[in-house]
Amino acid sequence: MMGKLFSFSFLLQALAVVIAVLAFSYFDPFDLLISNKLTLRDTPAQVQQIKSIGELISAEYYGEVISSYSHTVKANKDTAIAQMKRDVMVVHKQFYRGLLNIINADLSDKSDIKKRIQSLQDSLEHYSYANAYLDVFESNIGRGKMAQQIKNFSDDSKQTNFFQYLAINKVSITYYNEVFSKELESINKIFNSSKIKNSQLILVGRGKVQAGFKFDSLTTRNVKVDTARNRIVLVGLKPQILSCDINPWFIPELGLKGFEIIEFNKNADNIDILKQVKLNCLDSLRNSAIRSEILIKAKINAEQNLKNLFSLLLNNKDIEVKILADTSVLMSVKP
Amino acid sequence: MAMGLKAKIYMAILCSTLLTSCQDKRYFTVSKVKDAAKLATSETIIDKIVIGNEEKKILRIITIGRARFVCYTQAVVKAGIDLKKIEENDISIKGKQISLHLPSVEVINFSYPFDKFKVDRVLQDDDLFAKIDVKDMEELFRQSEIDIRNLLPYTGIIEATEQKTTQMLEMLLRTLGYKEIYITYRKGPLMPKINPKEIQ
Repeated sequence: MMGKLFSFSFLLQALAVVIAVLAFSYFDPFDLLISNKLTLRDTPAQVQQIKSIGELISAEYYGEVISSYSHTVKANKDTAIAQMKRDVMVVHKQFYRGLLNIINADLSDKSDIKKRIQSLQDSLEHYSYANAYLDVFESNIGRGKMAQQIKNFSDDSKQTNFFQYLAINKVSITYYNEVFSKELESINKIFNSSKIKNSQLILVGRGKVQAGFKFDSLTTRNVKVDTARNRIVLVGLKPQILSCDINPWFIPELGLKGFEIIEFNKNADNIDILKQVKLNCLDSLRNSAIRSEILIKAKINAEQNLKNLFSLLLNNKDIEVKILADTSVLMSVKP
Repeated sequence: MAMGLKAKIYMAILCSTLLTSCQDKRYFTVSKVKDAAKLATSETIIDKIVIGNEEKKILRIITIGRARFVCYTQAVVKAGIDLKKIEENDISIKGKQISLHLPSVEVINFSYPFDKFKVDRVLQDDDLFAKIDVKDMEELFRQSEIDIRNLLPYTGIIEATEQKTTQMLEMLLRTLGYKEIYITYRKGPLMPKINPKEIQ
């Protein structure tokens, strides 16, 4: 009886030790069992060039955005659909225009008709979705008939009506719709693939947008000093976004990161996906700055700050500064 | 009554949790447009190759895996002066003569754009036990940014920017009617010095 009890308690203790060892090796709190060492090699940073610029930064926007691979995929999908919609419409219009051009040809001039047919075929070559469009066209009139009918048309003037018939009745918006829904299906297929669906990377981005004016092409012609009216007019300057950045560090002195990966899985552990999500963050940051009216504020601030500067430079506190984008004013502003 | 062992352990855990939570720095970013008056007159392009290595070891001795990451990066630094720092006594005017004592040159914008990063896929090397993942890549880019920032004062940016700012302001001041122009600069840091150990 005692022997049995002893062996049972021994087994329990052994089990506890095994569990403790397994737990320790799994969590490895002191990095004793498996250690990771990530090191950056000491490589030189080389100055490629230092060039002259002229920029007045008059407004800065600091912001924080969040983006994920799902957001990026949705944005890319929307862009792809919008682009496809435009491209198919261009092909549709081009095709219709080409057919009308053939119909309006002088039937007695066979070489002119041939040229116009060739021109229609050539004009479609450079467009995306032209093949998809011709496929739909041929499936409606009968496969292979397009080439045959064009040949007949150029050989025999009796075929004139065929193109008139096509232009009026067949080449309708339904062709466009058919190509569009077919292509939409293939875009959906690409973006809804399981690989894309199962990839996730969530990123927080903190960055800065600077807006103001570029002085690179500024000459004395753009600066009009109207001493009689205590006014300086800067002509031909338009406020613009001068930079939009999210760096690895936002404020390094405070240890505040620019990009911070919140979550990622194995499928998204890829620099290309990381770049796409970062680009999406950057777009969001730029849009936030524009929504906050950074360009309007850049102009107001610049006028005020330049007024302060010119007041000091001219020792005249009543000076006023105006910034005008329109160069036509150059003529009306008195020097 | 003496405190039980369990209660003592709980107290110790609670105290350490409170202490560590006090050390946790939390910042928040206020999304707003700020007024600025910065004149950028130079743009410097700096190239840096980021080479990162990761080693996985058992018991800190036996290496079981090595990974390598190589990326060509570029930083763009705009430098100039902050016009808001110009004060009345920095300017002296005597007829057609003007003397300016301008604020020190500083970094107006530091950009380390990821869209210009080019990964060398030929030299990139992961194995079964060691892999440089996206979090490691970010860490390497952060270390690289610190390296570039700390190198900036020694790249000749300050002198080049002073020269270009002088040229630009001379043109402007001549338009305003000054014939004799003297421009000097205050001395100051280009940007805050960062100690990598302090921010890890």
